[in-house]
Amino acid sequence: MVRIFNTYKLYFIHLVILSSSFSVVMAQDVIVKAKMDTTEFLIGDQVGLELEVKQPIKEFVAIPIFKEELTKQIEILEQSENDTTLLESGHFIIKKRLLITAFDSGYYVLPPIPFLYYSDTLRSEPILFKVNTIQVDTTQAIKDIKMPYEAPLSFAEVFPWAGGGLGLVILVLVIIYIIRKIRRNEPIIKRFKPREPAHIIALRDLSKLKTDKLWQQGRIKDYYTVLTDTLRMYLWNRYAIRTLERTSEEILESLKISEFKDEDAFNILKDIFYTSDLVKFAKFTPLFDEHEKCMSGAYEFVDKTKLIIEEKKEETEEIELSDDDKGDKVEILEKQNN
Amino acid sequence: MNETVDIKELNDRIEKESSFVDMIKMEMGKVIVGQKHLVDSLLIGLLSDGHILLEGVPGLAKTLAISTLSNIVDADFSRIQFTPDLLPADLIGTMIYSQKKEEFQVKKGPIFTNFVLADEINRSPAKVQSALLEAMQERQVTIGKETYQLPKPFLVMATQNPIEQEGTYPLPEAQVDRFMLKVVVDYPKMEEEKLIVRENIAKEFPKANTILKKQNIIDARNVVKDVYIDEKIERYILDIVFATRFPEKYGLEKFSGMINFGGSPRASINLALASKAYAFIKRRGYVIPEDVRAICHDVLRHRIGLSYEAEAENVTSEDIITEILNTIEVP
Repeated sequence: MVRIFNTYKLYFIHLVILSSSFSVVMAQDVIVKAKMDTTEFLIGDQVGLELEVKQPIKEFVAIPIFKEELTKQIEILEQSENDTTLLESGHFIIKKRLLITAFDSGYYVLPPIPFLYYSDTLRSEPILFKVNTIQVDTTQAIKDIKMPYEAPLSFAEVFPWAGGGLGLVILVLVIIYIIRKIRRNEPIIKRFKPREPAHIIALRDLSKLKTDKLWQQGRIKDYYTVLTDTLRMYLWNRYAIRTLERTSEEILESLKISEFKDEDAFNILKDIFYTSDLVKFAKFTPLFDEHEKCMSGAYEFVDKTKLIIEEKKEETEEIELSDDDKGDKVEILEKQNN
Repeated sequence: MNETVDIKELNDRIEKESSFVDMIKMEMGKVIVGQKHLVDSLLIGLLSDGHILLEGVPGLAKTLAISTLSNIVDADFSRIQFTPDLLPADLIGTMIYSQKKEEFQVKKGPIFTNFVLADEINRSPAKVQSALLEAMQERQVTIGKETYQLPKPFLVMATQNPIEQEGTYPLPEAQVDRFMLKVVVDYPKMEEEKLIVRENIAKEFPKANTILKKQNIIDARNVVKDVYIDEKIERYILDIVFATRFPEKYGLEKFSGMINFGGSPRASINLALASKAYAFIKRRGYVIPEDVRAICHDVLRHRIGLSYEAEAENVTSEDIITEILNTIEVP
């Protein structure tokens, strides 16, 4: 008998739950509703709760703003913005959706939700719902607790550690470098000399060749070899023409093709190359003045073809400035310097 | 200018002795349109006693050029068409039994001549090609127990079709190394081909005159040998040949795995000889780096053995030679 009563009690409760999942309250053409997606769910599941207000356009009903929980047992996970729809009948339907959950099993009542209607308060009907727990098969042996799955490491997680490690290594290397430099009594930061202009290198080499006095010692072939090598290096540095791997004829051809316009300089170079080739490859022994002529020709060629970079002179304007203008100018100059 | 006596004398001598070069070129020009490089290469071979291999697709006047050169020089000339069924005896000769004299008599082959035109040499199998080896290197032929000297001058000028063509046998390395030059003959330019067409449809095809005697060639060869080659040029030649063997030593590491074998000492010798001949053609008594560079491709292209890696990378011996010439410092 008791068992039958219990069964009926359960049916009754379910009936109440089903009938109460949708509750409506009306007042002077204003309707407020609260509706759950389901009235029976598993512990921890997330269920939608929709609040709805139907009101004439001219009326105003305020939907409440919730904090983190509706009751102690019902937590709010998310809540949407109000969604307003205009009906042809001249009414607004305003909807708000909440995502709720509960972490205790049992029967719960969603309390009436208060909607402010001028000085009055409209309340939705309470809703009864059931939170089920997970059925445990007690006939089975007790198993160990499974550890949560580990998510793979992301770049964002690794980066700070890797970056920090790398930074530490660099710091250690820098310290070692500084210590070594200090021990060797060397400057910590090397100051690189700017590359010398091609004509400076060439003139220095020609000067050295002159002081070495090779042809005076009978080393005529060496003299012309160094002379042509100097000019070839100069052409390579000055015009970026590959001269070391090219023959005299090919170098002259390359100059013709390039923007080389100075005909006098071209002829000087041609004569030097011709004489040098004869000396280097044909046992030719020029007269003494020929050596000097080739040397002065080389100087002349370099001088005629050297690259001159004109330094820009800043134009200074002498204008009488007022005290305010002077202050502005000082500020501008400071910014430029920075 | 005061030149040392020997070079001045040599220059004068070469100026005198090389006058026939222009005449040969003129006579060749009557028959061969364009192909200046081909004509120069034939002259280099003729003057430096080096055999020549011409490669090109059929119809580029390879055979015509060689036969024309033979006509210009008053010398004996044989043309041998290499075919798959040719036998070594067909080339060098054989012993024939004479019933009348009741003994074996030597029947000399067509190779006993001054100029041999070995047409389409790679159409014959290796045993026939190898029969030329002794003749080309030693200038002698052994038939039976007897060795016979070949006449002077003796020059083999062979033509071959590109190896990709059907029915060709590649020449063995030992055979190909005996050719001083391998000249690749290319198509003529459009203007040149227009002249070729006109000459061929005319009533009479131009003919080259015989203007030289055998002795002229032998004398010229002696002058070519006297052309001065400086130690710097010798060093340059050796650098080039050594770069084909050990490219990594010359900053050409990229070719290290691509070359199976580089130029042999014969390559260095031929590079020097051909440079001298080229200087002679240019009527100069001394060799300059331009001469070496001018004949370098023809002397080396058949002497560099490429690996599979090179073939896979589409790197040819031409590419390697060009890169070597662009890398090695000119004296």
